[in-house]
Amino acid sequence: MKNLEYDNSILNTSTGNTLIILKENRNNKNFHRDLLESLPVAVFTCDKNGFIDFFNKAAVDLWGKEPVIGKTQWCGSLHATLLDGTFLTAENNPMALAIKNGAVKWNEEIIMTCQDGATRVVMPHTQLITNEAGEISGAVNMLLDITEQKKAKDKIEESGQRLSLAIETAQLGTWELNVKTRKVSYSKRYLEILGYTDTVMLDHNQLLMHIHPDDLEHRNKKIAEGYETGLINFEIRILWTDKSVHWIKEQGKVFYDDEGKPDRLMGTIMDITERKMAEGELEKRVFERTAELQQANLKLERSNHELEQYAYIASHDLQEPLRKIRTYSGMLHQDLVQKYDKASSAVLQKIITSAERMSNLIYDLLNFSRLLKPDNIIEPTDLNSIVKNVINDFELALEQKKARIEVDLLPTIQAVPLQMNQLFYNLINNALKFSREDVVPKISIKSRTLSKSEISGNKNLNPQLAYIDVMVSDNGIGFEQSNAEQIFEVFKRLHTRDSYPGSGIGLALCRKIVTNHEGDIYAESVENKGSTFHAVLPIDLRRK
Amino acid sequence: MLRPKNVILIDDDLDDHEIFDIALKDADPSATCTYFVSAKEALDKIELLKPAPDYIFLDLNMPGVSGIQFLEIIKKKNAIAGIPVVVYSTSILPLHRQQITTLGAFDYFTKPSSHGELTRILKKIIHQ
Repeated sequence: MKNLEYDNSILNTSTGNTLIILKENRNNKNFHRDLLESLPVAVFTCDKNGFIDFFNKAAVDLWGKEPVIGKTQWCGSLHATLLDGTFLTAENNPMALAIKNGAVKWNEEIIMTCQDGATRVVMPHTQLITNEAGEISGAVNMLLDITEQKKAKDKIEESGQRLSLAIETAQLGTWELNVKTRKVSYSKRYLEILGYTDTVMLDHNQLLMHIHPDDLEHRNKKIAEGYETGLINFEIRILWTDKSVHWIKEQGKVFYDDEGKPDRLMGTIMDITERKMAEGELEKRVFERTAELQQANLKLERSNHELEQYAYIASHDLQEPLRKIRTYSGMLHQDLVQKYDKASSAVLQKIITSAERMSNLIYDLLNFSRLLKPDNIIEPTDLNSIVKNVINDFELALEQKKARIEVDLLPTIQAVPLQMNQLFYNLINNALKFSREDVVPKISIKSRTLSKSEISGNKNLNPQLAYIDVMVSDNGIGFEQSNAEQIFEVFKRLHTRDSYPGSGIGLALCRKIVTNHEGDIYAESVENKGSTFHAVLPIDLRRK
Repeated sequence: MLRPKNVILIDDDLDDHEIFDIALKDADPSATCTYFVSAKEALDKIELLKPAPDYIFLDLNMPGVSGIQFLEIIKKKNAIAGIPVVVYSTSILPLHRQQITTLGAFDYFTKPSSHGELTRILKKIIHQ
């Protein structure tokens, strides 16, 4: 239903050229119609009142519907705005403006909302139609759909903006080098990183001059590698013109020509001076701490060594004069006994006894200090044979006191055998020593396994280990339960030395031994009834 | 009748020379002893002794050449390397015990605190 009735119409083009539709063709309506119909762009015309009187198929496709001839005004779309969102009223339609002003000035894209709701971006090309008299009789409009171009252009602009934002945020300087011509280009930030505040023109050689001489070789090696791998990535020091040293990280990509030779390098540089300084500071601190630790270790070793020296002095230098006192006293005592000088020999006997006690004290102290040394080896230790050996040592004392000793079957545990020997030596020694005069000493040694709750209930034990409790009981003089803790302290005695001789170290030694084994020791006692010592020891100290 | 025993004692402590002398006389009245106050003096003179000593009693802790060093040296002197050396010291650390045995000492014992005990030990060593 297209109408095309122009009499010698003149189409004014925007370029000013005039296309005269010749009279000869005027009657050939099909020619015009076919020509316009086949155009891939939307073309439509309106009369001077804006009523659409012609449109082609492309226009219908764009609008999504056919306008009604003589009814639809100015445009076939539902809604149109300018790019800034301004609603395009009928009066401001490009055709309306052209007819009103008698000239076409439109140069703006329009966003059209079509019948199906989609929006299209179009560029209108409007021309006025005048009749033979030169009067404006209408307008022709061509709508170029530039939606896709617009989208593509926006996309490019957006990714470009994103890139520069990223580069700016990361404070990256960008650069490009033509490998063959050595021509370089760089960003303002690039210059800033090199220490320039003004924009200066530098050639490739001048840029290379900024590289720290010590790092130039590294940089050249990395660039050579980059030619092979296609990627550049290295960290070097650069020198500013004021001779200050700065660290940069350079990253880039190599582009090759058709022959596969490096053609262009493109990349970024970043100032990493702060990071490098922090790393350096960290390294320095680690170094300092390590040195301090080594120093402390050395001190510890020295003090350990001194401790060993003390132990040696105790065992040697102190024993030496004592031994002589005892030897000479002994000789003198023999002499006095032969001369029947009872008074003098009794006094001398006291000297001998004191010297003996001091010898024992030194010996025990030395043993105690040896427990502090960590070089004891843990191995499977059969407590049965340990106890058997200790009992053998007391054979004479047991016989003299007519003591009875009962030993249950004991387990084999992971322990330091020598320390186990010392532990049971002291416990059995005490049981024998603190016997009651009028009662036959009875000693029993039993063991049992501790339950999980018993282990967790004792804060001295390691909950990850399994424990046994070895109980050494006697029927001796006992002690008040209130003293049960202090008997384990060094040199703590409950009795005079005369009544019960000893160094006062025995039980302290026992406690030290069980502590070394992550165990516990405690005593239960009733005065004049007897005592029970509990040595709680782990079955396997190593299994954690 | 056995030939009288002839021993030497190397000890920097003169009191110990005296104690040793008394105990040795009690242990074996026929035995004689030559005394040295340093290992160096002993090393200089042992080879000149006639007859060669039956036993060398050696203290460990001495100024100058120590007992251990003496042991090392004497075991390299073929003429006298065969003389049994008995280490006789106040305290013998487990570490030294091992060294002494490795170096080929005949025996070792710590200096006892009584004359009687020393006599007993000397008797045992000399007459074995």
